[in-house]
Amino acid sequence: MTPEHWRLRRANDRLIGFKCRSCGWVSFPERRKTCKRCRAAPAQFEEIQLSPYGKVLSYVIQQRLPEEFESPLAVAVIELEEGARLYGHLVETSAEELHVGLEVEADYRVMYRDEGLNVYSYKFAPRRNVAHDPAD
Amino acid sequence: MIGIQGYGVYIPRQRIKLGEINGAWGRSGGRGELAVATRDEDVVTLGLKSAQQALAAANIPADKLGAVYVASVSSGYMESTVAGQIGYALGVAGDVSIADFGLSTRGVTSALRACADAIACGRIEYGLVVGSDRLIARPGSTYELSCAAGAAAILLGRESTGTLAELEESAAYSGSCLGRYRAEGQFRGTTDERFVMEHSYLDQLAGVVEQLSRRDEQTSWDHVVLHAPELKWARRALKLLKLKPESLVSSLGQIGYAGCASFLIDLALALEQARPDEIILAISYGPGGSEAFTWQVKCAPGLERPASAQSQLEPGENISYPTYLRYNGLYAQQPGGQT
Amino acid sequence: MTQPTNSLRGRVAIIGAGMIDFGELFSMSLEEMIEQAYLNALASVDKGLDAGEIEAAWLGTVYPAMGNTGLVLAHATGLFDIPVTRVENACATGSDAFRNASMAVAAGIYDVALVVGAEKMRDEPGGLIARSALKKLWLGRGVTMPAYFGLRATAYMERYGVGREGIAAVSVKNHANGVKYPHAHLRINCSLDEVLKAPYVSYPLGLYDCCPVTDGAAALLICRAELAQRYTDSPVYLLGSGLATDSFVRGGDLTSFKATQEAARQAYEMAGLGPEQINVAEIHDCFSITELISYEDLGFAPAGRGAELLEAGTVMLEGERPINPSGGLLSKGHPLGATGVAQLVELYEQLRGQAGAVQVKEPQFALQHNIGIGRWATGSVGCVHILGR
Repeated sequence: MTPEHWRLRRANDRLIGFKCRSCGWVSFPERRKTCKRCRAAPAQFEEIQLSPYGKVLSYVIQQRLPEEFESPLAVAVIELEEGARLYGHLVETSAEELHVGLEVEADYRVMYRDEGLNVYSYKFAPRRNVAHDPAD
Repeated sequence: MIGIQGYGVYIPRQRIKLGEINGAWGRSGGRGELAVATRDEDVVTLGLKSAQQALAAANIPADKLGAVYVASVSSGYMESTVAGQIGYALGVAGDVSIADFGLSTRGVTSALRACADAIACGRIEYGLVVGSDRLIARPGSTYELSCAAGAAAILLGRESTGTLAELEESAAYSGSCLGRYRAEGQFRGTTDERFVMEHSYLDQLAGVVEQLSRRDEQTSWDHVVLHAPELKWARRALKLLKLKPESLVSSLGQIGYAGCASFLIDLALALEQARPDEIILAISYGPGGSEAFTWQVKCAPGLERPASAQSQLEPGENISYPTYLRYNGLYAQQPGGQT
Repeated sequence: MTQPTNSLRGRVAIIGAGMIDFGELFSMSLEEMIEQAYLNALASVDKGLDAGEIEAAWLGTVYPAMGNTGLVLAHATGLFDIPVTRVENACATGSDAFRNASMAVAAGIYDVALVVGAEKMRDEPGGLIARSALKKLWLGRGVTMPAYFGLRATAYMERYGVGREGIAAVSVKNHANGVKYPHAHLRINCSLDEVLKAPYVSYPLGLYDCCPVTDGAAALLICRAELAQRYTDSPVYLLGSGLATDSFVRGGDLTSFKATQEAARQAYEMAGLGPEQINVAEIHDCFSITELISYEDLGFAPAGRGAELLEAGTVMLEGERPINPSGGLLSKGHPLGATGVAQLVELYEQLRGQAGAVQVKEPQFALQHNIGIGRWATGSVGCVHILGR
């Protein structure tokens, strides 16, 4: 385990987020004492358990990537239910079903290999068997 | 009494047909399919998913776990911990006991026994046993026609109203033939398989059943799990042990052999097929020994539960042989690189 | 011209500008590129300037060179002993080097300063993409530059109902301009059909929606405004400058760049000008979608209606407000540190009427814009400069 991975581990492995008590903004995966949205400094953050569910705000399908990445690789900007925004690699998602607004759920996978060590993180897969949100 | 309070199974959706593998090597025939994990899955990710399901099914929060024991023969590490990784991601508390069981597929019952003992002596309240394997064979070898991926987890605890099955009796046996072995960096299969079947597998299964009979007069079981790398081995054991052929519960024909996971997947299948008060006999096998457990079914989960073991045996997406090689890192643009 | 003490307006003059022909310059080292851009800038000074008059220098470069110091500029030009500062600020690196040099000159610390932007991109076969953050857990995970901007394109297309052809028109225009611009890397025409049918790099962006991987260097000589007549009768003045950052993790939509909007606001306010007064602009078209969104962020078009400027011809070379007459990054290429400086070099020539085949009719005010993607690829750095005669 590398120091960088260890520092992020609670957020990375347990989807713990940090909510600003001043403005309600949710920081993920960074734990900070200052707020990126309201600029509170120092800001008071409370730890919250993020939901594994979110939706796709936008996406790309990368076709040309360095050799260590398999392509095509779909990457999306995802907003979790609590409002945290993050990059999510999409797995088990067909090109046909991929669209802005797609509901997804976190899916624990090997993110990359570091000197033979598998490093894990959540990727995202379409949320199966979920009622369509009419607000979309 | 110790009981199974919940279980979870995770079998990757992707399948390769044995005919596809044979075709790639210019051979004909081959019935059945193997479950194949994608490139970004491994024993940790597979095991975690089964563990999460087990806790969710039993409605037990991870911080109540006193033990997380993981058995695997394919983590790929000479030094590391799969149980520590899975336990942390589950959200266990700091006082949890973490242990990895490996080197032999028998490790899955070593984990089970250790967990049951810890509960029996009152040291812990709940313990989770996970079997997770992603077996990869040398391309073109006969092992390629059985090696598969999957994971299963069972949650053990003191018997309560929600208990699925109660642990009745257990026995262990270790014989003179240690069976197959695999050195660091090697593919599976460095021994004579007929020799191993006869002098290790059949010897151990007969031996452990004999040990069991000394503790328990029962000679017939409603459902039998015989941990085996190939279906024909299990059938030989059935015959030798004079067990009813229809009592055998095995996923080998549908998803292939996933090492430590196969034992728990088949135990989960047996639970789903069983009716209350029926008895399940489950025997593990691996280099060095076997262990047998009998379980009395209390409250059978049935086939209707979400993500049942039975439902995950259904064929998923069929993949080609090149895709299979790529997923298993055998056809990588950069071998051993990004998964 | 009034000179408020908190403003750069009118206090700094550009008196010399030069660049090298951009391209895959396998035969030139970073130092040789810097040296040639510097010599070209020196030679461009109408009344001459001696190297000894340069009191300080700023180097904008992104990739590590000689341990990330300004020493590479001293080695390339022989300008030892004087202060040399290296600036790095993503794709706004060159612009920010100019901005910092301008602030020092405006403050009266130096009379004459040199700004060089340079980047050796092609010594690495993978170019920019190979440098993207691959081994990252959440921040920037596997997000290449085409992906970062492609994410904007998907969101833009979805929100405004614009098709790929609306975005591709940027590429057609810029390549047509680039054919006429002598320093451009890619001097090829391409049709709308060719842009749309090119292989995808990162859906929805295809090959012709992306700038090439290019080596290059550019240099500017600047001085205190009062001294400009010593060097030329037609100096170009810095009127406004703005710099800002943003990140989508804070919220907001994915169809604009708040950093550009904020940098533009700062620059317009400093210059006392609005977008309607800009006659020509060099704006950051690392990808076709970037230019389209930037029309809107810079105030040239309302949100979601950038494509109308292309349809109406407003931004064409012969149009009312030509944008990227040089062919932009799509044609010139995008040697990170060199890009902003090269845009300023081109606008210097435009304002002086020396832009040759791509000369815009008597521009008075020009705008230069960069957008850079930095750490973790969730946000951007926006930099805007306004120049005038």
